[in-house]
Amino acid sequence: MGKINQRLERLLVKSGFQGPDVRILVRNQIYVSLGTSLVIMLVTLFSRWSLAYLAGAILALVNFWALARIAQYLVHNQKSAPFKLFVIFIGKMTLSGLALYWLIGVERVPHWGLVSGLGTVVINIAATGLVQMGQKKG
Amino acid sequence: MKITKILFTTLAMVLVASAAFASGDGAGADIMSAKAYATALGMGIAAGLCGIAQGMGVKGACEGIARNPEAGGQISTTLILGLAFIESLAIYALVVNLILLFVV
Repeated sequence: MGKINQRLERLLVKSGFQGPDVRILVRNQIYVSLGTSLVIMLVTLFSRWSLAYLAGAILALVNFWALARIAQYLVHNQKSAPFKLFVIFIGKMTLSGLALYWLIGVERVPHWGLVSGLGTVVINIAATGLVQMGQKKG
Repeated sequence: MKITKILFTTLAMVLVASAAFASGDGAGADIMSAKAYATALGMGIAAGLCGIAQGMGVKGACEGIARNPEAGGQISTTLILGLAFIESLAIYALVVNLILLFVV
């Protein structure tokens, strides 16, 4: 687990995540999204529901990654081009919308699986918020 | 008061329009147009409110960092958590609206 953490840290630093707190957030999101997807896919033997969950979890992870990168970049490097970040953000939102349209409108994936996969962000945020509250009290 | 009147009048026109226009085409077209209106209204309301919430969050973070630049790291973490939470609500709204439009 320690080695995986180190490798992920290196990858995140290379990808431009400067703050250690932000790196922990994104790392937790990667673990929650990919870990739960892998477990569910193995347990349900790659059922259609589990693939829908994987699609939702990957969408949530990509959105969280882009949002975290843009937000921390804006806070730490306020002088660099905000227009470029804005374009990246809008592009990401458009791609997410198109992906969701393709999944729901064209492929007709099981929507409860998709919604559960998207819920991994909320699980991560709730867990991180609880940990932060515990650290402040302790 | 005037804004409320305009808002309710527009809402009433939008809701009644589907029944008025599709009276001769049968129930299928009527339901489809009602779904389209519901989806558009739902997504518009969700996107607008999420936009207001994200704007308020970023405003608070900017003010906090301007007052106390050393707390930037802590504020940015909280800001990312808040923005991700609000954005996930918008994505949920999009998913629900797409399900309403294509599945139900």
